[in-house]
Amino acid sequence: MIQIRNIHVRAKHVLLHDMNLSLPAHRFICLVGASGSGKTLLLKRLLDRLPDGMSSSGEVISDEPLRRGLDIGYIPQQYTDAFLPFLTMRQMLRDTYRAHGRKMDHPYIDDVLRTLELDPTWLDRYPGELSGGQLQRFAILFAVTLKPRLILADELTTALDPVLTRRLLDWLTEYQHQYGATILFVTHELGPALHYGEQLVLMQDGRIVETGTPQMIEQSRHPFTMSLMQAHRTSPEERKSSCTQSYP
Amino acid sequence: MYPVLSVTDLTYQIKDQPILSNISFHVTKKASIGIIGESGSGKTTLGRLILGLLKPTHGLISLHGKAFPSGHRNERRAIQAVFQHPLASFNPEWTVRESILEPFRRHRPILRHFPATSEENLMTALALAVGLEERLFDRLPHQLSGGQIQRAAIARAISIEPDIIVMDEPTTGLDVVSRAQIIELLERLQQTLGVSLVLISHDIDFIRRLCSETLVLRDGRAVDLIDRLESGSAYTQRFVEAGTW
Amino acid sequence: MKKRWLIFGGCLLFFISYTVFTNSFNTNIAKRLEPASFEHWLGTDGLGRDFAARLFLAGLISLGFSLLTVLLTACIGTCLGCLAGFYDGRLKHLIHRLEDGLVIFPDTVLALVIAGLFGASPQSLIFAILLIKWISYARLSETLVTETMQKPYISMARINGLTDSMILRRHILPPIIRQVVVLMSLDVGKVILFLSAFSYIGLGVQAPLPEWGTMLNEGRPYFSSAPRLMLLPGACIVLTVVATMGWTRWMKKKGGHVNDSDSEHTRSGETRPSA
Repeated sequence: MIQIRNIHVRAKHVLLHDMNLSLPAHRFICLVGASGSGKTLLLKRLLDRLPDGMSSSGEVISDEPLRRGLDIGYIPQQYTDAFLPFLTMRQMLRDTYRAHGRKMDHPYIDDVLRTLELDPTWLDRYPGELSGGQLQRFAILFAVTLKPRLILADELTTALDPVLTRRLLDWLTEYQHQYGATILFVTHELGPALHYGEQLVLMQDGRIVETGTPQMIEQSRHPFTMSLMQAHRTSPEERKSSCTQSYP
Repeated sequence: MYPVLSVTDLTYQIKDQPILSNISFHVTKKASIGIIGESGSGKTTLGRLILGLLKPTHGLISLHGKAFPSGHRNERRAIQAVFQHPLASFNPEWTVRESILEPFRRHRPILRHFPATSEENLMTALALAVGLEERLFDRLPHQLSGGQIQRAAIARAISIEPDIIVMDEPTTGLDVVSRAQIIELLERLQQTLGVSLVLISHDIDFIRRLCSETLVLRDGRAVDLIDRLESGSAYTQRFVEAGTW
Repeated sequence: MKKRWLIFGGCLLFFISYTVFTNSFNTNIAKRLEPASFEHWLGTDGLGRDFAARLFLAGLISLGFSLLTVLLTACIGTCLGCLAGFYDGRLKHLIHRLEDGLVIFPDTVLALVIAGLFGASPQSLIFAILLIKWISYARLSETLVTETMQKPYISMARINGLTDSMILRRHILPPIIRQVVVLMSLDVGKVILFLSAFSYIGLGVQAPLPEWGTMLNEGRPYFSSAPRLMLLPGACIVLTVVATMGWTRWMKKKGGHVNDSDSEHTRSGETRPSA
């Protein structure tokens, strides 16, 4: 369980306004908001990796330690930034283990590679030799390789085709259940959030607008949430139906 | 009456590596086609070939029955584009206005729908058409939000009243509300301007709403060319289902 | 702002007219090493020549020489760099081999060698500087050309029907010119320094033409009796170089840094281009 208390982040303007949030453990939590809403910044604050020139106040209280790599797995939006261009994937993986004083767990790695449909021979490739989709999946491997209990995923789905998106999110859900992990999934797309999320947090302009389960969000009367849901239902038939229609 | 766009047996290879093989389809006036497929299926390359940015290895692309590109000065008036990362498609040192006016100044066309008497009148009409405030036109591209810059890109594309606009992932990266607005805008433009759209996207709902036909690509080959997304092959069905939330 | 330019222009005019109307070359042994007087505002040098006029003329010569050299170098370097950026293949490789071959030479050594081969003169110096300095312009423009060509707005310009020369003129050259001009202003100072250093040892501007470096050398024997003969030319060199550095800093600030990669929207969902 992670408590976010009065987090306030500013650079030239206030970017996150006094945020208060409880993140329940073992849940798939989706942080939904447009770009500029502050969702990525919140992630970075959790990781204690705010960009230069920003000041913050408030605290993050957790009943378990939050060491990056070991307890927190981070899949950045710019996953290409997560890799060094002059090392092979295998070398970087080994370094990750070494940095935390652990030995490589080969059966686990093989298992994850198989689930993510990554060819093990690709471990010997350099980042420049892999496609975007492959790198994205490797970024997930690296994030989960030490079996952290908290996964922070930033815009995993933006550029992927729908099949790959579903595959990744299904896998993330499995990981959540298998290891009792908490998933914090940041996205601007409402579709995946409503489908996979157990708890949604809607953000706008550095503030939390509303939180709730998918059903609560769909039936919410809050004007912002309603406009979001309205825009989300793109087909004319869906638009005509009432807001209380439940989704499969 | 020739179709607006005709793609015949299009093949594209890089050093004997086939990227696209034997793609054929055409787009009639006022109709729109969607192109869907996994990443790496060749969608973007197909878009670039249609736009004349790449030379095909084999096959033919024709606009209104004439081979394209052929070097005629005004052939590019008929076809325009909107790219995936709209900000990058604007020169960062030019104001939005200057970028939007680039095709107009090049072709100086006679327009039917928009006033071409002066650049100011044209800009006002375009601002109205895409739902942007005119004062945003005097800003630099990075000062506009994602939805705004995408609309500016659409304004630029429609400014010379082309017959066909190729759009590569125009809704990707846009927040929910902006995306809905862009979809409505494009619907409106289809009706008022009668422009054909070639939509390359993995946003299935987007394609479903705007396109009368869909081409499904897989590993550079055409798997399906269908009018209703539900009537495709098993592969297409799986793909469409995955993309429908 | 305007007032500053007026004062600057006025001073310049004054210096130039002084130089024009006072003879810098008439020697007068009888009147050598005279201190400042009404006739000679800064006195005379070791050969009785008007010191102030020589100082100003030397300034004009230094500036002229350096501007000419930098302009020539920038033009040749930028042209070659742009060519290398546009055309893949043999031309690009040839230019790269030229660059690799010449970049290893330290400029001083090369200048000495060329002076030895072709005789000591300003022309040899220009040639030596040209051989070394064109490379930075070539590399700068080649990088800029290559980077800019990949930007989507260039594809967009093509789609809009612009010809290659239009794209070159409107999209590609402006940022190149801006950065090249900044590089040039920095190089002007360096070249003046270089020229002075070589003139000091007798390999640049030849007597009787005045040059600050040469004057430094000429003033050496009289340092104890008339230190101004060394101090003033030295001060001129330093001040001029500092002025060019300040000019460069001002230009960099004015040119500004184009903000085209900070927006979140170019980052979200960025993948490798799919085939």
